[in-house]
Formats: sequence, structure tokens, C-alpha cells
Amino acid sequence: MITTRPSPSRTDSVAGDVETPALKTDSITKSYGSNLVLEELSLEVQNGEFVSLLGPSGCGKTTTLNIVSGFLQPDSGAVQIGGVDVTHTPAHKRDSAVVFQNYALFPHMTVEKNIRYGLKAKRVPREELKERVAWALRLVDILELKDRYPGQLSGGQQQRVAVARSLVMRPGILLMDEPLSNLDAKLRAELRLELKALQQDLGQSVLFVTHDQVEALSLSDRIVVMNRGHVEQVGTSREVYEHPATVFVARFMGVENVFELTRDNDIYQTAGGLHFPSRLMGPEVSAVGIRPSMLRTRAEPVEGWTGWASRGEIRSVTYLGDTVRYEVAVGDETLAAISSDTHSVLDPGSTAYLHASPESLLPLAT
Amino acid sequence: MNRSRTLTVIGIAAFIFMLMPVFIVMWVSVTSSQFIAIPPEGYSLRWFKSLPENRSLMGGLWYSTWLAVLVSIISVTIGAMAALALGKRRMRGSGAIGGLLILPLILPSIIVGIAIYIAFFQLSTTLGMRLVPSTSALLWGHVLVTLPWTFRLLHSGVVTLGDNLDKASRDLGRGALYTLWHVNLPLLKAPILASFIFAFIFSFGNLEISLFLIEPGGITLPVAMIQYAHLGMDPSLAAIATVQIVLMAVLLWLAGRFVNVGRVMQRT
Ligand SMILES: Nc1ncnc2c1ncn2[C@@H]1O[C@H](COP(=O)(O)OP(=O)(O)OP(=O)(O)O)[C@@H](O)[C@H]1O
Ligand SMILES: [Mg+2]
Repeated sequence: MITTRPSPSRTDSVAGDVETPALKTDSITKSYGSNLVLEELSLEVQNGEFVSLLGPSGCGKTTTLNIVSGFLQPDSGAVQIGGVDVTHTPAHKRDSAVVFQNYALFPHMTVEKNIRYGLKAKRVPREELKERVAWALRLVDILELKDRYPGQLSGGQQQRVAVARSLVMRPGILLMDEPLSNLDAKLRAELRLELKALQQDLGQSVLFVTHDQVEALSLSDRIVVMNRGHVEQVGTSREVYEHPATVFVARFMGVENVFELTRDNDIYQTAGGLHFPSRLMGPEVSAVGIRPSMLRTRAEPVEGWTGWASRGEIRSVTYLGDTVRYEVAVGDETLAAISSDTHSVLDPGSTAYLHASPESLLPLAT
Repeated sequence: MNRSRTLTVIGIAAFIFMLMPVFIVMWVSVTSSQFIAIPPEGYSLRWFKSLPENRSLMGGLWYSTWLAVLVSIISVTIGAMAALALGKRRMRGSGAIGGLLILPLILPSIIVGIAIYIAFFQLSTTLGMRLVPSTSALLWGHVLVTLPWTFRLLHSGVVTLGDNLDKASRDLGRGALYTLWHVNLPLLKAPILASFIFAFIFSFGNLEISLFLIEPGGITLPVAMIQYAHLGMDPSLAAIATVQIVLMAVLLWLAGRFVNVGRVMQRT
């Protein structure tokens, strides 16, 4: 459905070159009373880049967006949009546009008027204005809805209007605050694909807020993982997923088996008695993570295995259709393992041998 | 008779009792005789036909109408500004200020009347000019007693509206004034119209404050009716009262099209 026309020229926004990022926040700090919500938060969105701000509820994602869009003032730090410092510029004079979580469409205006609302403020000439509105309506495939009021639209349609209303401004940076979270799973997946295609076609720089890792992984060029107001890790989807840097990121990315380590000569140990030979790890590792799907669970030890292996006892078995999930006790620790071998399922109470290749042992900072 | 039946009967009786004055006034207004009597000796509309020649009552009717219109405009304007200032964001103390603005509702109007009179009188001696009785004192007195109503209605409208759309508007490049005019005010149309009507009704019917503040030549309808009654009761009074009742009923019906009147009256 993406029917991209040549986009109207961006005469009225700062033409970006490769060097100046579309958005840059420079160690912004914000607290509410004694509650430190953002701590020296720095991030960048390059031109045409799709960056996700990923983190659990309450970690400060919306606060960051509010500071970038100008609804909140940071206590310290600076915000640049298209290379221009806008830290003290009021919201209505910034080259950013927000797609709000609740869409915030004007209920007393038709779809078309909603989309025109911001353009008229920019004093776009009449002809161009018409052209751009039509372009935006077609872009998100809502041309036939243009005379309806927001109250007469479904959630997904409202979401499209909200996106069109922001995109028609051709903002230097498009900010989206969990724009898909009010939709059902199927529609979310659909709109995700459309959104990504649209963003790539337009080369639109986007900062996308979400607490859903799948959403972030599938949409983003880069992901900024946030925890309690600071950045834990920045990287491509692959980097963040395959090489989480910290215990927090690992857990957030579905690494269920995370253990803190202490070193004893050639052996790293966990409090519950797991052992990891140091030749398999790095020199200075304070925690290790293993994805359940990376653990091989067998009734007998694998001959000639050079990676990590350990003996344990099956505590529980959960059949999940494509896979089987085991909880395996080793010493005082319990590990989760997911096996795709659904034919020879081990029984609870039986002995099991866990195997992990050296690459699947993720060294983590605490 | 079972219990709920008894309650129903009592309820209907109470309702009839409450509406009795309205029925009686309307009933005697259509009499054909010179005097107020129940039941009337005969029926005619002569007292309505002769109303336009009754200078004191008609003067009061027009004066009250214009006063109420002016009062409503001022009261809605001030009420809207206060509601927008206090309802948009949660500030420390906005609850207290909101409470204070509602306080005059529970004060007997006569006290407000005396207070305004004393204040303006004091001010007059200080400034060396006569402020009471005067039309402007009357105007401000009425604004004062209607303000809690307009504020309440508009405040709940503003709170319901929230500040999401303000943010969206600002984000799309619109300043505060444009946003107020094109987003907030159109969406507050219902509470604005309703509070206008309420202010009109309360100003129109007010006697206590007017008694203290009216000046000769500017007599409101309720005061005019009292003065008229002192000279002797005749069915003209019932006729003008009927006109008033019909006017209020129409206005309340109109207000009901914009807001839930029952709810407004409840939340005192
Ligand atoms: N106006 C405010 N006053 C005081 N504290 C606030 C205010 N707004 C947000 N906070 C606090 O700041 C923290 C970050 O809030 P924020 O809305 O940025 O979280 P978030 O990451 O967007 O969460 P979610 O995913 O639930 O939307 C929270 O602990 C919240 O309680
Ligand atoms: Mg949020």
C-alpha cells in the first residue's frame, strides 16, 4: 500500500548533510524534586536514521521525548536539531514533529483539516499546501477518509492520520511515543512494516520510543537501550541482541540465564556453584549470560565437547509446540533451556547434561 | 400498600408540592377578574395583553434582561480565563483556588450583597465619588455571584479536555493564542454556552444583591415586582411571573442540550 510519490521539497527545514546529526542530545539531566529521571543522557539520530529508545516503563523515555520536542526544559544539557541548538527554543518553533501515543487528533476538524493544521502555520503557499496534503493523505493510504472526523475512524486509521499530520511537516526529526501500543497484535505487525517502508522511502529521521524489544529490533537502524534515566547500550539491532553489554540489556533482550561471577584462579564461579573455566570467558568478566535457546540439553554428555558443559537435574518440562522448555537445576542454580528436539523429551527428575558453545557465553558488565 | 408504592406516592406528592407555586401563579395569571383569586372567576389573557403598558414591570423586564446579558458575558469571560489557568495543569494550590472560587455558592446572597455594599461605600468615601448605588456596582455584584457557576462548568470542561491537544497544536507550530482560539474554545463550546445560560438565569432571578445596589431609574425585575406588590396586588404580577417562568424553562431546556443540568446542580 505504500504509494510513495516524489516528496515535496524540504525548502523550509534545515537541509541536513551527512555530518550534522538530525538530532543530538548532549548529557541532558532532568529531575522531578528529588527523583532523578534523566541522568546525563546523550544520544544521536543521524540523517535518515531510525533510532529506537528502548527501555522499561518509567525509565524516562517520554521525558526524553518531551525535552526534545520542547514541552519540558532539561535541568542541564543541550538539544540540537539539524545542528541548531534548540535547548531554549519553544516547542512551536522547533523542527520536530511528534506522533503521540493517544494520537491527539483534533476532534472538531476533519482528517484533511487536521493534516493542514500545521502547514498553514508555516505559511506554505496555497498550491503547495494542497499538494502536500494530498501527498500525505496518499502516503498513508487515507485519501478516502479525508472528510471524516477522528471520532469516525478506527484506531489504526487514527494512527495513520497522526503519522500523516506529522510527516506532512517534513520535520527534521520525527518523534514517536509508542505509537503502536494501542493497537491489536495483528495491526501492530502490519503497521510496523508499513512504517519502516515509509521511513526508508522518505529518508525520514526518526526517534521511536518503545518498551517492546521485538518492535525495536524489527524497526531500528540503531537501538538506544535505557535504564533508569541513563543509556545502557547503543548499537544496531544485531549488536544489542547478540552482544548485550550489561546484565540489564541481556535480561531485557531475553537472556534468561544471567549469573554474577567471582574469579578463583582459572575458574569463574557463581554463588550457587556453577563453574566457568576462564579460558572460555575473558580476563575481566563480572557476569555471564546464556540464552535458553543456546543451551543444548542431553541425557548423555556430548563426546569431545570443548565448550562449556555441566551436569544437572531436570526440574520441569514445558511442551511449547515447536520447542520444549526445561528448567534444569545445577547445584543451587536453575537454568532455563529451550530445545527444538521435541521427539526425545527428557523426563522431570532425570539427569541432564547442559552444553554451551564458547560464543554463546555472553560476558556482561554489571 | 408495599413500601416502594408508598415511596412513589410520597415522591409524587412532594413533586406536586414543589411545583405548586408555579401552577398557582400560572393559574391566576389567566384570570379575567381585577383581583387575584383562587379559583379565578373566569379566564382570559387580558393581563398578558396589558403587560406591555405596565411601565414599571416592563422596565424591570428589559433592564434585567440587558443586565443579565452583560453579566453573563463578563462572568463567562472571567470564568473561562480562570478555568483555563487552573484546569490545564496541576499546579500546587490550584485545588485551593478552585475551592475558594466555589465558596460564594454556599454564602447566602444577602451577605454578599451587604459585603459589596459596604466595600463600595468605603471605597466611595476614600475616592470621593459615589460608587453605590450604581449600575456598575450592580453589574459586578451579579458577576460575583454567577462566577462560581460559570467557573465550575468551564473548569470541568477544561479538565476533561486535558492538555494533549495543546501539545499537539504547539508541536505543529502554533502559538498559544492560535491554539486557544482554534482548539480550546471550539471544543469548549458546550460548557461556554451552558455557563452563559446559567449566569443569565442566576443574574435574572437575583433579588438579594440587587436590593442593595440598584439605583433609581435602574430597577431590576424582581425589585420592580416587590415595589409593585407594595402598591397592591393585581394579576399583572402573576402574568409577569408566568413570563419569567416560561423564559427560565426555555433557557434550562437549552442549557440541557449542552450539559447535564442535573449534574451541574448536584456538585455543590
Ligand atoms: N510530571 C512529573 N512529575 C513527577 N514525576 C514525573 C513526572 N513525569 C514523569 N515522572 C517520573 O519520571 C519517570 C520517567 O517517566 P516517563 O514518563 O519518562 O517514563 P517512560 O519511560 O515514558 O515510561 P512508560 O513506558 O511507562 O511510558 C517516572 O518515574 C515518572 O514517575
Ligand atoms: Mg512513556
